[in-house]
Amino acid sequence: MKLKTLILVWLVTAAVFATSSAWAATLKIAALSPDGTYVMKELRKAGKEIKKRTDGRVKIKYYPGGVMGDDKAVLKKMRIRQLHGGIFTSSSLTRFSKDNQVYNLAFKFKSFDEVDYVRDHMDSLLLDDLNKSKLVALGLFEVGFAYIMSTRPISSVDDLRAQKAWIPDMDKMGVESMKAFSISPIPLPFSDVLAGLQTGVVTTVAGSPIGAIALQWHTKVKYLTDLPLLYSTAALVVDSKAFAKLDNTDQNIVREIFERVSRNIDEKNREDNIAAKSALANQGITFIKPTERETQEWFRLGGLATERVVKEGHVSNKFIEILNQHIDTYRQQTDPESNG
Amino acid sequence: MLSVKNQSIRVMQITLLFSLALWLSGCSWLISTSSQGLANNLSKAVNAHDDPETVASALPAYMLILEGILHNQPNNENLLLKTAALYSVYVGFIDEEDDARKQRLSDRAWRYAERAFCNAVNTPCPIQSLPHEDFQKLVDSMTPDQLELYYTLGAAWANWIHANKDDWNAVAQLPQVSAIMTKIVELDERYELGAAHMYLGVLNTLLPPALGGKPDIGQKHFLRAMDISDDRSLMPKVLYARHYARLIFDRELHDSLLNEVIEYEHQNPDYTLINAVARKQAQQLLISGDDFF
Repeated sequence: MKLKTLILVWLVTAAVFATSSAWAATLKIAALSPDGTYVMKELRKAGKEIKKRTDGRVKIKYYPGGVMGDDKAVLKKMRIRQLHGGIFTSSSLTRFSKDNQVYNLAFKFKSFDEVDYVRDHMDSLLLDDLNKSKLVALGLFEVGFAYIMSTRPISSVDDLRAQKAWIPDMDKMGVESMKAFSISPIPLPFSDVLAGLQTGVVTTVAGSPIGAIALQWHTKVKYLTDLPLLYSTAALVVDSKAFAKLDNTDQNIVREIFERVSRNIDEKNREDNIAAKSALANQGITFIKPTERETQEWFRLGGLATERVVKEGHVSNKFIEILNQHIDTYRQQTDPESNG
Repeated sequence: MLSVKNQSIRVMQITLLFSLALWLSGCSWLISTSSQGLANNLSKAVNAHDDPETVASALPAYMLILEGILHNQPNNENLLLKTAALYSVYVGFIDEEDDARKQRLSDRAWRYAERAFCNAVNTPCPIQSLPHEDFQKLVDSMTPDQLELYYTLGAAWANWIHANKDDWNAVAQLPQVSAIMTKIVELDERYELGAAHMYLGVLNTLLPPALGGKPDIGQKHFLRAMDISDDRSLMPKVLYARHYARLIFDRELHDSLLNEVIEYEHQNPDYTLINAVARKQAQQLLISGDDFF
């Protein structure tokens, strides 16, 4: 009888623990996007849907607006389990997947159409690569094309060489790429770029149109070189150990909802980047279109930059080859005369 | 240079501007009309009212009266400013979800303010597409007797941007508001009970530091606004909690500021209305704080 009672107690206790453990499955996710933005609205909607469809077994708690610090700080907090996930640019996730930077190579894409074709064929590879690490990738979305913006007109590579070009501090792949262009960039954190433009410490920056307006760079630069410099994405990831604590059904629900939300954010960011670029023109920024010859030179040096970053191990040759193959296929399909 | 952070932030998450514009523009209109007979008494009655809904339902009649007078005096600068300010106040009362109405009426406020501005400084309208550098030159030439002109323009502009926050053309104009408020602080930081400091507090805390936000500078502006207000208006504390305390994730500061607002007993008749709004917002922020922190 005593034994039976003990077993009963044990079973009840186990059940209680199991229940409380399910109730305690809260994924804490940080983002730099301020509360109230489209990104946060979508994520919060996803959180509500996840809670509802898992009958409250999974809750998502967000920390928006950078309250948990920058990417580096959030990753550190994930290591000590204070946080479970976040939204990161590919350059912040190199420790987990260096090949997620493959879209960031200089002068790879010529248009959004090319980007869309390549992403249709490659996004899953990038997500798989992240999933091989200690992370679970729940979605990938556009940050956008970065363009060169400057206080003096820049049409050719020589024009850029005459300027003080900014580079984000810690951007090792960027520094390596710049060597191919024979440029010694000035590293500054994002937070100091506007002041750098004001004081003339830097005269040339690069960023997405959304970023340029958000960071108010558009008040200091006068020109935009209308050639996509690079394309970047961000990923929504969570720590694999935290994710593994959810049962399979709940994992599938979380995946399905976040994948859908990531697609929504992806589409909205595209719309925003196009609108923001047009707003830059409306604000009096002059768009410079490089000549065909100048464009070829930008892309030729972009090719050399790619060779350098592969050689230095920033991105694997395998991913570059896949990327090049898709771009070539797309260009052949749309312009058979093109030699890639 | 060859990499970009996640900048998919819409800077203009300025939910702030609802409360801010309400208070700031409210003061502008109310105070600037205080020397005029009926308007003076009306201003006192509005300020002393403790029910924002009653005030909101009464304002449209006065907006139409001013527009009626303006019909016969289309270039009366003073009247244009009063009308712009009154519309700006009213926009603050419109339901946050009613984007179309907010856009329509904030646009009306903007056009009156802009017309007054273009007449006064002899510059061609529209000014929204002026490159920032050119607009900065106009702001640099601001004189103390133009405070009302620029302040009304800045408040109407901020309101208009907030109502159109999904439009990047609008968002791109925020630096102009910042330029106006910075110059006002330089000329007379106490103007409108330190309102320009409040704008600058909010503008500096819209973004996290990792993306260029300057919470330290924002904090200085909020503290200065609180000093100048000296508890006559409770709104600086609400905005300090909502923007600064949340940005740096300091719940203790957040809750203590909001509790101070709710528990504050002294009634200053000149600020009854705005303090009623402040208390209401403080209660809402305390509740939503459970989700935020």
